[in-house]
Amino acid sequence: MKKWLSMLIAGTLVFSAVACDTGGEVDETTAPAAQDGTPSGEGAEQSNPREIVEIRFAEWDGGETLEVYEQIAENFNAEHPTIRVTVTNIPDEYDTKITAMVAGGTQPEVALMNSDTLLFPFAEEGQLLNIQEYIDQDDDFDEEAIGDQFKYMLTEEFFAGYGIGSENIVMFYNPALFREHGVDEPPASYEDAWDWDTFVDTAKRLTIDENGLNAAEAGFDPENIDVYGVTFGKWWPIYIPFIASLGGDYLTDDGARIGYAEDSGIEALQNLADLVYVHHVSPTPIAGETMPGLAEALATNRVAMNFNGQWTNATLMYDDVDYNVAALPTMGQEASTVMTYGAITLMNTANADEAFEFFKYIVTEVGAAKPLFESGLWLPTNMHEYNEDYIEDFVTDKHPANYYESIIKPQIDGTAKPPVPQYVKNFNKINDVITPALDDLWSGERTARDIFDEIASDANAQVQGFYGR
Amino acid sequence: MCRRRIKLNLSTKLMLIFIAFSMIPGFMLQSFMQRTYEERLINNASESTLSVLVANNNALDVILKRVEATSQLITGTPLYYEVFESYPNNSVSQILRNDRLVRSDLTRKFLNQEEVSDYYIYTDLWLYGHSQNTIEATVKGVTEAGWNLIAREGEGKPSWVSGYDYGERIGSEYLQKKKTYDFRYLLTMVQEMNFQYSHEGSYYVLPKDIAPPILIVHINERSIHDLYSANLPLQNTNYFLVNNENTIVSTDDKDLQIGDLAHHNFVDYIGQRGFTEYVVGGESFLLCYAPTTIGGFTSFAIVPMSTLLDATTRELQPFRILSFVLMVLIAALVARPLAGHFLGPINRLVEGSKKVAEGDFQVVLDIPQQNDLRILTQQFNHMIARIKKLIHENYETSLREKETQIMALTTQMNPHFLYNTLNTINLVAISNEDEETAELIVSLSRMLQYTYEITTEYGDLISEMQWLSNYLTIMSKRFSGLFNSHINLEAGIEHLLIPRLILQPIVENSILHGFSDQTTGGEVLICIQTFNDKRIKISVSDNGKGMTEDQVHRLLRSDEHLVNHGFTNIVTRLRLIYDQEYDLSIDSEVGKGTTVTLFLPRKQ
Repeated sequence: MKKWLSMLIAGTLVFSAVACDTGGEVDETTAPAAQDGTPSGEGAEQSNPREIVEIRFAEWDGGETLEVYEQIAENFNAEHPTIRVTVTNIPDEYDTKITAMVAGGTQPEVALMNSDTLLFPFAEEGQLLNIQEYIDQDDDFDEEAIGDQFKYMLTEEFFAGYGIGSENIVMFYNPALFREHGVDEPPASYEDAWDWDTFVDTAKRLTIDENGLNAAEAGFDPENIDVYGVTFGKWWPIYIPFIASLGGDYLTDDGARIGYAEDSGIEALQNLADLVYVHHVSPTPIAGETMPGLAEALATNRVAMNFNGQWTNATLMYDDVDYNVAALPTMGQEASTVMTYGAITLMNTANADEAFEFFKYIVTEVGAAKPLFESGLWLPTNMHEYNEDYIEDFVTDKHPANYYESIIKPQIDGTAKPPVPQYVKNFNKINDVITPALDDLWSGERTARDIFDEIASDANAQVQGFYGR
Repeated sequence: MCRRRIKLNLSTKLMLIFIAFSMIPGFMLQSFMQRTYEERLINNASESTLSVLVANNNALDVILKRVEATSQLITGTPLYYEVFESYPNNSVSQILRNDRLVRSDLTRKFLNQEEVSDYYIYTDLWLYGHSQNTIEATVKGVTEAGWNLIAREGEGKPSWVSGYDYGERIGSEYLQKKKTYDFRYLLTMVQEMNFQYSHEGSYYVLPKDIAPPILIVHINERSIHDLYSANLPLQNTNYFLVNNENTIVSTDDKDLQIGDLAHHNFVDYIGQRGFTEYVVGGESFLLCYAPTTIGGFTSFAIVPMSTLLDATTRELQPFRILSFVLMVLIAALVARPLAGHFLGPINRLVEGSKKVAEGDFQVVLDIPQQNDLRILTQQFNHMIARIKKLIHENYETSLREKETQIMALTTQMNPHFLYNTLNTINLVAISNEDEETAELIVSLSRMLQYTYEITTEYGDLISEMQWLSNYLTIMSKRFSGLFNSHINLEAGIEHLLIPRLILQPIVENSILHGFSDQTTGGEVLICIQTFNDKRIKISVSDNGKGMTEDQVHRLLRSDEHLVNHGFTNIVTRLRLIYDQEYDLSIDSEVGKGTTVTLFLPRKQ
């Protein structure tokens, strides 16, 4: 009896020991699989009877914009179980990389394009699909959401891309400096825009040297400026509003010559250069190398005014900088500004139908990109989003006081002109002639007239007229 | 409220105890297994974490190596020589144009290096190729950060600057206030660029009198963070990439910031590879470490031991429960017959006790086979037998006492009449001058008086000896000249008690039987003395005819009804009174005489 009993007890223990050991072994086999770091399982071989079409959406914005794109893709994927959109973020050298992808045949199905570089060249070479064809085939497509001013038309028939995230050029200013120097703040509305002299006078009074003298005062030291009246970027969206205010444009009306070489163009560019070298209210390139970014320059009172893209609001609002926006000054009769926007395009791929579904979603779905309107980065390009209620809804407390008057209203009333690359053929090639030539202007070495006397013919040789006309 | 105790019967208790005891070795075994398993797990985890760390380092090395290789490539690219050949004398417009050229080429050179977030070439006046869209940088910022000096110290070799806060480093109060911005933490390569190349037999190198420009390449710490944090195999693991100064370059530990000094323990492992266990604040951690080949970084991974062990515990939980249930089940199964095995004899004992309690002393239990219970049962049987005997003896004693009393009462019925009669006879004998008769009557009267007066079991020695003396007087008259008698009573023990009239039958036996064959010359000697302080020795000796051994034997056997009833009575009385505490011996030799010796306990 006793022996039988002790054997039984021993048996129980052995059994429990075996049970423990089995536990160990089971784990041994599973643990290394989890530890070797390969992302197995996820996304791998999910055999699904319905084939899911992968759509890649390429774009260059990071941060909050990327998050919104990803949210849009997620929302889209939820509604479209057979399509899976992934966002391909290319934060820098976008054009180069997209070009490389096209060369390698790995281009994304949907891509944002910078209109001034890739969009039309790609369209011309058959890399982009005609969106109009897809719209025509789709009975559900809401054409009223589409605004003509946002269309990229290669020809009258070829709809190559649609602008999303419109951003126009505006004046940013530092109200604290205006108050400090007892200077009137710039007007919000383009109807009341300052004339150029008023603007230059104001800029002078706000430009302070290290002795505390302003640029309008005798004894002002232009070599040692602490606070500049104005800064601006040296690129076409800054030039065009002023050229336009003098009645000019990037090309002459007949589309035969560059507008920069016309009187209006030369005057506008020279006026801008004079801000640096005559009025000393804007930094030289060398001085500019020591200037911080706009947000910091405004926040640290290094600059009073700045001509810039409206997207800058996003940084300034995020950084909680005390600033406001105003109408750009005018050099001539009518104040003007210009829109810039990237375009969403369908690239030439096998999955064009699915790509169009996503295009349709992002372009016509009201509110898809609302967080970016709220952040100050973008203005809508869906026409349904241009109504008072919706605008009121996305303009927040953080937006600058003049946001509606100086930024949204020009977009609606036509003060903001469509971006040059949207309608000028061979834009890049023309610019490749003009931009290096203008280095002499921005370095103060030559006048605008001298420059264009020299290069106008070279530039004009590249002029090919207008798209879509 | 009264506490109720759960009453469990013995078999349930036994079963529970058995289950409980079978658990103890089970759990010991289990915990041993777990510890072994844990050790193995920790070792596996250490190895695998280390290998992941090494793999991450290799990936980082690839990134850093590519940056250094690209930098090398740039040094030998003719474009840069041309741009910087005489850069201090360049006009602003030349600078602007060169800037564009440099930016375009740098972009191509770093095209596929996604981790690289910014790059530019520093000179005193201008940052060539800097893109305004990425990291805010100014000439002043670079000098403020001291990168130009670090690069000069490197004399054309790449140097890695790490573990710093960008805003703090470039002296931007604005960024320091802002705190959260994309490029706050960077890993920066700076290198003095002595541009040179050879072409068709000609060798071109920057003139000695101009300071070589400095290439600055920033890698965002976030890409390193992504690289390291994505691949760590275990939860709650923190990684730290530290540089030679033990400054944190990258980490996913939320409590520490880049630029902080890493734990001082790390210093010992910088540049080393392996793993160890270390304790901080009472908690122990697994620490794995491995160096990179470029940049002098060491990466660390810290896994709280509790994480590893929690996982083990969780993994073992189902098996623990299973084995627990099995053990309980098997224990319960075994406990049942086992309990029966123990309880059978115990139940029989219980039954036996019940019978005894009801008065049945005839119970005799079967002796079971097991040792312990056999003894218990035997003891029980023995105890019952003893109880039975004791009850019997008690019963008989009280009965005899009652008999004595009844007898005494009966004989006391009219003692005064008897004394008066004896007094009358005494007076008649005196008046007839028959002194002998008078003496006999006085003795008899005293004897009777003693006999009647005392109803208790014991008498003191002096009274007993007086009574015996009276008796001997009467007997010596009856058997005139047959014997002489002597009583020796030790002085000082007169008050000790002995059973009443216990010696009379012995003395009588000596006179009636010892001297039956003679008519004269008999001697009876009675000696009473203490013995060993605890006992009294009483001997009655005669010089009569003695007894054969057989006769002595028969005399002592109390249960046989012999002629000599008196002697049997003595034995019975002594046994009842003293149980085993007395001794009675008879020494006798035919023709020589007999000595009866009694040893009794001293009784006050």
